[in-house]
Order: sequence, then C-alpha cells, then structure tokens
Amino acid sequence: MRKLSLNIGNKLALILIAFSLVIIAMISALFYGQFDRALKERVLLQLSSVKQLKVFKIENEIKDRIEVFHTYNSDYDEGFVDSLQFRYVQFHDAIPSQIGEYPLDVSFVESLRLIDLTQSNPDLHPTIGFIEPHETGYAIGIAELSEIQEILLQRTGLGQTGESYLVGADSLLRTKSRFYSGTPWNIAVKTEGVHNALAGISSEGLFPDYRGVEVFSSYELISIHGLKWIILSEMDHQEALFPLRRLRTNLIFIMVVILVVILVVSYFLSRTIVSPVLLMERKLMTMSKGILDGVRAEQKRKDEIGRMFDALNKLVTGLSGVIGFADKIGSGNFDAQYTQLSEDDKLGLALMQMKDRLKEFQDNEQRLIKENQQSILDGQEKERARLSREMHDGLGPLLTTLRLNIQTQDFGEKQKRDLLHRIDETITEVRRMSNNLMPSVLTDFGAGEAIANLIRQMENAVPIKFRFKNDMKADSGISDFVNITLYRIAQEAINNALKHSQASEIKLSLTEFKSYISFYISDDGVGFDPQARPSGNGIRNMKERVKVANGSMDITSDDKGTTIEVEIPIK
Amino acid sequence: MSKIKIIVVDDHQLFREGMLSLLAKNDGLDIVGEAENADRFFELMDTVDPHVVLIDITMPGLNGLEVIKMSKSKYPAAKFIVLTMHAEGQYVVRAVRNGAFGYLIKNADEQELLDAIETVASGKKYFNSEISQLMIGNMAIEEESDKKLSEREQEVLELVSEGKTTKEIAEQLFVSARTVETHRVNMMKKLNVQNTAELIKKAAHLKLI
Repeated sequence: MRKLSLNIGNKLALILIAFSLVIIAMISALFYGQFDRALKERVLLQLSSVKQLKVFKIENEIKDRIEVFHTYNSDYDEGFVDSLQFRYVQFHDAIPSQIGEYPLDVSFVESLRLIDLTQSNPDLHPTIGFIEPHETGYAIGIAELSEIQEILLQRTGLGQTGESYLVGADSLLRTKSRFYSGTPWNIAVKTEGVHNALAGISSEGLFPDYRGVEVFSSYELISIHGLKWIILSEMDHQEALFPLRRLRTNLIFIMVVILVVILVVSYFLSRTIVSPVLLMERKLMTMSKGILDGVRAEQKRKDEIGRMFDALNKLVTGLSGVIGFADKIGSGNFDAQYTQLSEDDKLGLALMQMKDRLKEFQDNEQRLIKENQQSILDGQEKERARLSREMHDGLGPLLTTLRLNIQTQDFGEKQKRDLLHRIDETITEVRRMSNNLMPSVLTDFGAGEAIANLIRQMENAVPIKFRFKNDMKADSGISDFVNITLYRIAQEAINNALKHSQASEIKLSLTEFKSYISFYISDDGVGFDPQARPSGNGIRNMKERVKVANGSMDITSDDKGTTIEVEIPIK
Repeated sequence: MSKIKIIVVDDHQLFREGMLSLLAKNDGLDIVGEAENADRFFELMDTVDPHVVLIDITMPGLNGLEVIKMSKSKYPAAKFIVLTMHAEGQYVVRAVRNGAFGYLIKNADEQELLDAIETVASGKKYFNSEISQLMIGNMAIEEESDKKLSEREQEVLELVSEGKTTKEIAEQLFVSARTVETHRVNMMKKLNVQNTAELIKKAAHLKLI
C-alpha cells in the first residue's frame, strides 16, 4: 500500500534507477568477465613470449659454449686448454670423479653429455659440465654461464613482481630468487609448472609458486644433451590483475556518474511530465469545487500534455457556456440561446429542456395572471356598470315617478316648485353618480364619445384648457373591454394631470386604425420621474389595464410636460 | 279634432303608471296602450295605430333607439318621442338620425311634455333649447366625409407637404409619432404610392392640397 502513496515522479525515478542499475550491472559483469579473460590471456601470452625469448637466448648461450667446446675437443692434442669461457677444459682417458671442486658422477658417455654443476659452484652461478668422448678418451669442460643469470634477470615485460628462474630436474631452484636470498637450491619448487614441465609439457597456467603466492606462469623444459632445466617466467596474480581492479574502480565511478545523470534526468522528467500532471490535478480539484475562474491554462506544448490542457480549456469553455446559460435561465432570461457541445451534451440538453419547461411555466403563469387581472377588472367594471344602471334605471325612474306624482297633486304652487326643484337636484345627483361609475355612453357609443363627454364636464369644472381629437370610427365594433380600458386611462391621466402637473393645457387624441388604437395624452405641466416608484395607484392602474389589454404604454416626462402614448391592439 | 292616440313604452311599471295618470288628466289625449319592452310594443302595434309613442331608451332586449329605427319604415304614421334619463348629446343625435320626432329628459315639466306631444302629433319635430344644444355639440362628429382621405389624414398630408418632420406633426396634432407614421402609410396605400414624395405629388395632382 505504501507504494501506492508514492507520487508519479518518485515512481518514475525509482523505475528508471532500477532499470538502469540492472543494465549497468549486466554490462559491467559482461565487461568485467571479458576483460578478465582477455587480461589473463594477454598476461600468459606475454609471459610465454618472455619465456620463449629467454629459452632461445639460454639455448644459444649453451650452444655457443658447445661449439667452443668442440673446437677445444678437436684440438685435444694440446693436452689442456686455457680458456676464458671455460673454467676447466681437460682431456682424460677415463672420466674422473671430480675436477676441481666439481664432482662428476658420470662414468661413461657415448656422445656429448651436459651435466648440471650449478650446485657445486660456490659463486652460485649456473654451471654446466661438458663431457664428450673422443678417440682415446674424454674431453671434459666446465663452464660457468653467468650470462644465463643475466638473461633471467632481464625483467622486461614482467612488471613489478615478475621473475624468471631455472629449476633443476630435482625440483630445486637453480637461479637466484628475487624474493629469497641465500642458496637457491635450498628452495624446493614443487609447483604445477615444474611437475608439468618435467612430464614434457610446456604450457602456461595460474597456480601457487614456491612462495605459495598465486602467480601466472609460463614454463618449459630445456633439455640439451642430457641437461634438464626447467625455465619458469612468472608474474603475481595480484599485479597482473591490477588493470582489472582499475577497471572495477572505473566501472563504479561510471555507475555513480550514470546514477547522478539518472537522478537529474528523472528530476527533469518529473518536471516535464509530472509537474503538468500535478498542475492538472490542482486545476481539476479547483473545478471540482465549482470554481472555473483561473482554471484555464495555456500550454505551448504540442504533445499529449499540451493536448490534455487543450482539452481542459475546452472543458472549461464548455462549462462556462453551460453555466452562463444556466445563469441566464436562473435570472429569468428565457430567450438565452445555447448551442449543444455535442449530440451527447446531456447537461446542455437538460438545461435547454429545463429552459423550455420554465418558459412554458412562466408563460402559463403570466397568462393566468393576465386572465386573473382581466377577470378582476371585468368583474369590477361589471359591478360598476350594474351599480350605474341600477342608479340610473332604478333609482332614476322612481324619482321621476315621484316627480310625476307631485306634479299631479294639489299642493300649493310654491310648495310644489320647491319639492320639484329638490327632486330635480336629486335626479341630477343620481345621474352624476351613475355617470361617474360607468357612463352609459361608453358602452352605447364607445370610448371616443364617452371621453368627449368627460372632457366637456371637466372644462366646466376646472380652469384648464382641453383639446381632444376623437378620431374613432363610428360603429367600429370595438369591444366594451377596450372601450372601458381607454376610458379609464383617460380618467386616470386627466386626474393625475389635474392633481400634480399644474398644467394649463391638456391635449388628447384618440385614433383608430385597422389593427390598433392609438391614445395620446400630453400636458404642459411640471412633469415627474416616470422611473420613480409611483406614489399613487394612478400610473400603476393604467399600466395594468394596458397590459391586460395586450397593449403598450410609453410615458415620457420632463419639466416641460408629460406625454403618455398608449397603443391597444384590436383584431 | 280627434284625440291624440298615445302608447307609452317603458320597462318601469311605476313610471308608466305615473305617466298614465298625468296624461289621463288631459282630455285631448287617449292612452291606447303601454308596453314594458320592444316585443310587447310590436305586439301592440298589430292591434292599435297610435299617433305618438313615448319611448324610453334603456330597456331589457332591444333599446328604444333601435325600436325607433325599425319602426320608421314599418309604422311610418307613428311618431316617436324619446323620454329618457340620458342627457348626453350622443343619444339625442342617434335618436334624431333613427327617426325620432322629439327628445325629452324624464324630469321635464308636465307642460313641456304636453307641448311636445301636441307638436309632434301635428307632424313637427320638438326639441327644446337644452336638447338642441346637446345635438349641435355632437353633430360635427357625425359628419361623415365621403372624401378619399379622412379629415385627420388630410391634416397630416398638409403638414407633410409643408416639410414638417414626423415629430413636429405629432406635436402639432397631439398624436404619437407612430400614429403620424401610420396615417402616412395608410394614405400611401389609399393613393397607391410607394413613398412620401410620390404621395405629395399625387395629392397635388388630385387637388387634395
């Protein structure tokens, strides 16, 4: 579970490191093994060639002596030879047991025979005894071959620990050891090389030498006329493998460098791959909280990450569109348009359906409200009309009847006049009240006539000049509802003007067209602010009536006066 | 001289009764029938042949003015006097146009009523000064022009030809700008022209301006 909590950057770095470590390890192992083998081969080859050279030189040296010895032998008549190259050259009939300090444990030879006398040489130089028969006896020479020691000491190609030495057939050292002083032949060399060489095999190998130290060794048996020396050229395993250790150090160094490089690379990878992913994560978290501002991110990259951010931007744009749309719907703007992002844009589709439903709902509601208002207004007007009629046609006739009765009675002339006068006043009052409620002219002759009568009444009552142009057609069949609407507007407008405008003139015109009626009312008063909340019910009532009649009303007002323009559609 | 035969048409029984008792006092008058609505009146007319009909305007069913209009050709001998509470000029004008010979407000004096009946019965019309005033005040409206253009359109046309703008015309005629525009469009339709310039040209040609 802990692994899951690692972030992508760390995971990526871990994978990269593990992967590259495996590769480096494999390459190193391969490289190391190959190098190891090549190194061993090279060391052995070198040892072998060194050894070969020395064998060649030693054999030449010995052969030279043999040639010299032959020359002496052919001149054996001289009795003895004084030579620089031989310590002794003597001629004997039989082989003596000792010449000088050198014992000769050979009694008979058929041809030239070389024997190893090194152990008898107090100077510890390689020494060879030469015995060769001639017609009457034996020529015997003893030569000290210090050159051989020099040849062996030439350490070219043998490094720090390398040495070449000779071992006798008795497996004892013949030449000086680099490592031990003292008499060589006190040192036994019972190594694999000596063993093999004695068996006639000349080869190379890795084995412990006489010191017990692991060495690379090239060995060969030098066998000349009975002389058996084994030459070994050796180098310490440790030294030979020094380049390998250096290689290992280098490999470790390279590994460290690669590791560092990988760390750097993974850091940049995590910056280029992971940091946009983290950025995206943050943006999506922001979006999940419903915040869209600032989520948009510009990426110049053209790769998958760039495209990912392009997609994010598209998403944000789309969502913003949807949100803007929803916002408009929320604020009641059902005319808002929306283009679906795709055919499967379910959210958009749902919102559009919601909008349609809400619009339908709103339309229904508005229609209901309007119907309600209309029925309230209708009811109100019907009630007024009924009251008006009752007064006019009910109360009126009663009074007139009463009047008739009085006329026919025998009252005193003055008494009669007073009563009739009072009844006339009552009748006039009833007629006025009835008219105020709902003039019968309005339903019988239309708004134009009713408004004309209204203005005639006003002219007598108030000191304001009226001008009215009635451009209604006679018998045009305008509905009572429209007539009443126009009449009530005229009442309200005139009333308002009288109350507030201080106007000296009010102009009204009523014009009937085929499809609508235009009603224009203007005064030259002080005006008011049409935007301000109306103080009374006047303006609001007018607006309501116009709205219920599906008409429109414009009010413009300044300090030079007020103009009201009303249009009511007729079918 | 024979008695004047009278029918009273009114939907209020009390009023009819009052009227009957008032008229009954007069020897020269003979109440031959009464009706409370138009239907009853027409039934009555099948049996009697009155000289004068006193008729109210507001009644259930057909109103008095309509009854007068229908009776004008049907009963040319019957002369109608409107006796009503309506003191508005429009009713007077309508009544006269429909063929009424007199128009009285219901609170008229007894003497005036009798004068009216006698005047009308003799074939003359009776309108007192008050009613005449009401009638004259409303006659202008009834003047139907047989001109191609309405009075208002004529006014607009003249102002247009004077080079006034729509706004100026609207102000002068106290109508809305849209009304002026509609008048102008209607005139162009009537004169079958496409624009204002053609309208003025054609109007000048027709001597409308």
